[in-house]
Amino acid sequence: MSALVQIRDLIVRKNETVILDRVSCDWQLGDFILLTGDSGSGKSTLIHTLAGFNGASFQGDVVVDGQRMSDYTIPEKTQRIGLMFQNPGQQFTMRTLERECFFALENCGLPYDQAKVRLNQAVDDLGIRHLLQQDLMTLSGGEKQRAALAILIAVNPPVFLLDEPFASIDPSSRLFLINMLAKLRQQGKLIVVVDHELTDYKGLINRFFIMRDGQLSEADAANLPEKAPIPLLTRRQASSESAFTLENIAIKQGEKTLLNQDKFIFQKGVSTLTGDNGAGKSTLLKAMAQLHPYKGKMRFQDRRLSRFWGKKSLYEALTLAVQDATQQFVTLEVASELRFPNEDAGEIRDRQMQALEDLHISHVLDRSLYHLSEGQKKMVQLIALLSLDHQFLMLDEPFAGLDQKASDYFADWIEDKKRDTDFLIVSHRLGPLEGVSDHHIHLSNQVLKEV
Amino acid sequence: MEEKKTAIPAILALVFLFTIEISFTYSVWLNIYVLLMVAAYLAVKKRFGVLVFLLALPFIPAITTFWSVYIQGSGLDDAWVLFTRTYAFAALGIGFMVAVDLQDCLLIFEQYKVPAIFIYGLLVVIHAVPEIQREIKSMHDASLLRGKKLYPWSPLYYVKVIFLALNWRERYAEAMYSRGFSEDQPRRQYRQWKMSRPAIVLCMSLIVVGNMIMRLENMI
Repeated sequence: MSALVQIRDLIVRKNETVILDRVSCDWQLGDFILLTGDSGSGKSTLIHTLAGFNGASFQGDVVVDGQRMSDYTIPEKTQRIGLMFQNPGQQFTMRTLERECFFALENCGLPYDQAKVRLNQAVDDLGIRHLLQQDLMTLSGGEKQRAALAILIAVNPPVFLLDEPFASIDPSSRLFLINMLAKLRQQGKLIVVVDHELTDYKGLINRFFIMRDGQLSEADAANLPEKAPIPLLTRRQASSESAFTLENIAIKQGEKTLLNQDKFIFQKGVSTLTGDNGAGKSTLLKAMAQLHPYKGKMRFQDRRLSRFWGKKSLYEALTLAVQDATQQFVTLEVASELRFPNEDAGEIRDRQMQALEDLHISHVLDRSLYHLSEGQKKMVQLIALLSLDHQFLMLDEPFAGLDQKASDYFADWIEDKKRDTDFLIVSHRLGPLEGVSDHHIHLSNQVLKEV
Repeated sequence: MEEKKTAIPAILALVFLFTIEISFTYSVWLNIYVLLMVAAYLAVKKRFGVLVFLLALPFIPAITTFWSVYIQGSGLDDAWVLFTRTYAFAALGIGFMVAVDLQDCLLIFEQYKVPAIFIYGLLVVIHAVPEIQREIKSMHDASLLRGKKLYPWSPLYYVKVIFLALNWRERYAEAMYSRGFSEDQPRRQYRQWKMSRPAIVLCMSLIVVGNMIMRLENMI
């Protein structure tokens, strides 16, 4: 019997960068597949290209149920592949779960009587009958995920694709949903889940794939690795002077508590902050930059910080490079972005030009920021921030979208600067920080701990 | 198939008719009648906050119109007409906002053969508003961290918002397709909207009463 999903030599490019490089695989009904890999390795692209709802062009063959995906009409696709977005809030068209579900079933042309039966069955399976008439926007992350899964179950395709479905929900909802997926597998469905976190899947999945730089490789599902080994991120002779202090801090995202701690001191030097997806690393950085509400006290160099005043002067001493570089640009061209905010500072300008040259992107200097590739945007963002003199710099995923050479270049720059500047860095990629980082801090179970 | 009674077409007709009527007539009493009608509706629905809003919001434009017509223009009678008309327009707008559920309204239009892509495209955007607001806030914060405050009047704000919209357009299109929506495929519709008889009768009587009031005023 031929496989339900057959992918042959799939190549996907985005702005001349190869995202997927000749990916091939065969997946059968009854498979429960876990797919993992670093951010930017192409997992998401594989899932979305397979589903084929984004209309992106690709080379190679994607065959589902004996026919190429591109030959199906959209309602036919929906009845073969159920896709769940990373953020299900962005997938809802209607206001309530009931209407959303009927919207999908109307599109598939199912008669009303059957649609009702299917919807009732799905909400009972997931225990969310009470959510049927509620405004979807008001649901919590976990409830949204359940609602999204209920719709897929009601549409009842043979293939379920879930793109990092558990990135922002609590452990108990996660466990519930993983077990629900295992039940669907027993009913003969093909399930593909993308996840960074590999726990809770043991014994439930039968195939395990790793995506690396656009290439797919299969590993043994029987002994799921407990994550890649973490490089050494601490140094013995590191300073123990305090740079930033948290006292009686509580930080929440919606109803979910992310951090609850009596006291924590960030010491001088380069600190690396690790933790699971959704543990609250980015939110903590935002709170420290006084941009996310928190309870308790924060001190930076004897100065008590406030969310309501003194931010402008604060950001001359302390700042944060956010994950999405585009959000942070304050001008339109590379040259003017680098000149901001001091128009004529010769030394800074020289350092910036040096960096552009070292990274081989001098030619983008007179281009529009919005025409750069993702990696180039990140480089410009980092150059603009690192060339200025701050006393405390927080970097959220500084190496996302950068190749090895560029990552090492910025890691070296951080090492150079740390005499005058203290760093707090959140990164999924820890390799470049080996030998640079002085302190390793781990966030889990709402507590920060020095490793 | 599921039948559902709706008052929305009757309300739309009522709002539409009164809007035209008060635009072209000079009746203080008709304007007051429209205002009282909406105020009574809000009171019945216990939306007292909106009621206060309705009384407070048009005050400044109403009083300035009154003043300029009284001083510069054609005298006290016309000034009162424009004063009350400003309130009546505001009342119709707010009444529409409160009484008509936008999602239902668009779905009713679908039944009357407005293209589905238009209806569902609008719905996606309406329901995405909170997400969009959050994204704009984080854009604002990120620029602040670079030492630049973005104001609603800075052009850069709009460059960024347009850029954001382009990114989101693809995501929302993908979201709709993932639910099986397609521009060129016929859709089934489970819900058959039927006009509610009592609503039609009520709206018609409100229109008749309004016109009788206007007549009476002219006779006096």
